[in-house]
Amino acid sequence: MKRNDWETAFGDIPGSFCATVGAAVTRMQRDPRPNPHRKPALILAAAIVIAASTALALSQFGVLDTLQDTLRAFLQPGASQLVQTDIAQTARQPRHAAFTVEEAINDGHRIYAVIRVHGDGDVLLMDENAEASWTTDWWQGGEDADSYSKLAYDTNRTLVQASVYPVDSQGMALTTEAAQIHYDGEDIIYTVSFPAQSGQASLQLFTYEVYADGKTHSQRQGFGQLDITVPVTDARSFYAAETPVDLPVGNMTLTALTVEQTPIATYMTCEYEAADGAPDLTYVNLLDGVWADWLDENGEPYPEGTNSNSLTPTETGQTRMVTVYRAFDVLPDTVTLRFHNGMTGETFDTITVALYPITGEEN
Amino acid sequence: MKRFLNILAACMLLLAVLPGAYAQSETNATVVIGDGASIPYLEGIESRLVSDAASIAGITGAFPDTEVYAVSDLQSWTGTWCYELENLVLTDDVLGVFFKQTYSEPIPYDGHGGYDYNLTARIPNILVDGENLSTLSQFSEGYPIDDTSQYSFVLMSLPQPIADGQTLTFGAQWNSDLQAWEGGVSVTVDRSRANDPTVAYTPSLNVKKTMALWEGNAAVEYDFTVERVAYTPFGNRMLIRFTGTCERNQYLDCRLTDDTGAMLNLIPTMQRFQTNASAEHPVENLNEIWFFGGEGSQSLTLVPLGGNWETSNTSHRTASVTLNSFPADVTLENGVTLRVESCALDEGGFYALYTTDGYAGYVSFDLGDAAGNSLGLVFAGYQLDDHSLGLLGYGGYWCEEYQGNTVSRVTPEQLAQVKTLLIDYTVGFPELIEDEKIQVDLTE
Repeated sequence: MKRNDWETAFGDIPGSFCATVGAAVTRMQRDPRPNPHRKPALILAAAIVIAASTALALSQFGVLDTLQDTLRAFLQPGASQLVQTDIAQTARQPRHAAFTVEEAINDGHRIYAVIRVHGDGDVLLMDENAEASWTTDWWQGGEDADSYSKLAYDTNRTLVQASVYPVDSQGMALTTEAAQIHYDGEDIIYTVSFPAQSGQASLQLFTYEVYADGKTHSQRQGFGQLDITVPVTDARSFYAAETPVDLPVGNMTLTALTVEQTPIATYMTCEYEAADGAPDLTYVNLLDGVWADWLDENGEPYPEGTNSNSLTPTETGQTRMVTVYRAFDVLPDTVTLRFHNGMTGETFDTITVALYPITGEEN
Repeated sequence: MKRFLNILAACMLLLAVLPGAYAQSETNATVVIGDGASIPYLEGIESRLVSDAASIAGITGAFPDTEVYAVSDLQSWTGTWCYELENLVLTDDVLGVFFKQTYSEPIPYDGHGGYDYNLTARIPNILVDGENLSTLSQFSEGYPIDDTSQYSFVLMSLPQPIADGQTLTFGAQWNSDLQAWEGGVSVTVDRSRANDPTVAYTPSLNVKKTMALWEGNAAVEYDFTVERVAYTPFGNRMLIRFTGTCERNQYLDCRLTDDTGAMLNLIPTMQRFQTNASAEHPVENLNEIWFFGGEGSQSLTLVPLGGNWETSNTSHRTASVTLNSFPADVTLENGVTLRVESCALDEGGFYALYTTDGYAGYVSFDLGDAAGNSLGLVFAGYQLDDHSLGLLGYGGYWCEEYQGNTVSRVTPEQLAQVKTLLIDYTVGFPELIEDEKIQVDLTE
């Protein structure tokens, strides 16, 4: 069993920390990066390509079109009816940019939203993943456009990085799907996904001037907030499995399993705990993080529909795992789960349980 | 990792812009470097970072009676630390502090055996004349005194020297309302009696060249200056100042050879970069290479690393040595000899010390049966070098703490099967890019 993944999970370990960063540096070196250097002969061609791709992209910035591939490829017929375009929203905008939610879906489990960020006339916006030396067409795989820095410099504009973070009602950051990033002209188009707590949601808005130009850190920052209302759809169906189920290899017990199906995605919630008399190692595994893969008929894990699956303790001391998968035409009658320690990779039990429908109230 | 690097960059940015005003601290005594005072930390132990007290006698000074209180910087720890500062190490290259740290309750070690003490060695934040101390690399070690306290040593390399007469403040807290530092204890540094054994060179070699090191990536224009090469009592360092126009030309992944062509063993250190660098807004960025050996060499040569990442999956090799015959030399596939000097193995983990006489790619270790096959033990690996012996170190632990009990992932039966130390290394990846090597003259 290799342990490098486990190693990185242990926090501040000076030796391995250095080794990890060293490896990351090496990985960065081999990862293709946007070429910061413009090729003059290609300026015109690049401009034409950008204009053409922008025109094409303009018709593709709906929330369904900007979902992660694993969800977009399996959208069910009712999905488009869930899209809301007239989003009630109130905003306190940060300096330099205006954030607007253009489309959103609230399927009861998650909110998916397309957010347009439009810069003031004297700024050039840069998305949260970009760096100043990257070309402005990096997000579509290009590397021939000007860098953000050069474009801002040539047009005498302030380079500003714009970000958006969903928060809960207490202002605490929510686990967010990595934003999908597009540009429409110089507007940034973020598609974010985050847990739906109700029909209301708040987004914290952040801008940051990339270059100090004599300003302090705080003078370069801009803060705002966007509150939106996105009613929950009724197009949901719920299923459950009989529990408890013993997990003898891992010395655990599966105490609950529910599946929620919408036209956008399928959400699975599992709760499990250490079995009576389980050794301390079981509790250590649970503290490390025990996850369950949903296996298909070939024994392969279904691709996950999000990068932000969650593992949280319940009030009664159990572990609750919520995972997101593609929507199904017909939900399988059974669910096969393979439990493993997410840090060490050690695998435990593989079980198959039957699903039966339940009402939303029973969920 | 992207997020991690962004956080790292943000932290560096924050440290760079925090205002310098701070409240006057309570005491202002003097630490005289080279005072000849004893170093209690080194009594009765074999330090991994210091070969012996005599080797650093000219660069250490005792603190006056100095206690610093600070809340724990670990989120899961709720107690309070008391730091008793005992001795200061100061040269143009490094600042180190020997101290005793006592927790308000039994120290909640994580069950990783001796490695825990290194993890727990944490120095409160340090200001220099009211400004945050800027450091490059950090090495630490510790050993226990009792269940609530341990001796610790933290050694930090410096981007620029701390001058005679400057004031160090330990444990000050940032008051965000006042936008000022408060509290802590201060000492003034007296370096007038210092006798530094460090041998240093300032080659000031400026290098401007374009290198295409990694297949599939665009060539990168480098502009850097090798500012300093120092042979210190704690290992050797090369300080390089990069002028960065993108993230990738603010560090150089490389190896070092001496004037005989012998490959030197490098101590892994973190390489930094700033994400806002661009051609229009170049940034100055310091990075360093720590290494063992090369003393007396007329020159050192930087040999960049590169290659084709696609070949990395086929580059891994494994060799083995039995655990009862150290030192043991292993000839790797590329002809390099890897010498395992020792390997300690107990119920909590293992720790091997080794050197190589050439470039062995990426090296890590595993444990195997008598036939040299991996036993598949689940452990966390770490690199932890021995600066006092000039040896590279690699260890692994398989224990964690749970409600006061040490829980092992390796059973006694599995441990009984361990007969060999397995050496995982890479061949042909990354490659040494000899055509791009850079010689640093040390004769002047």
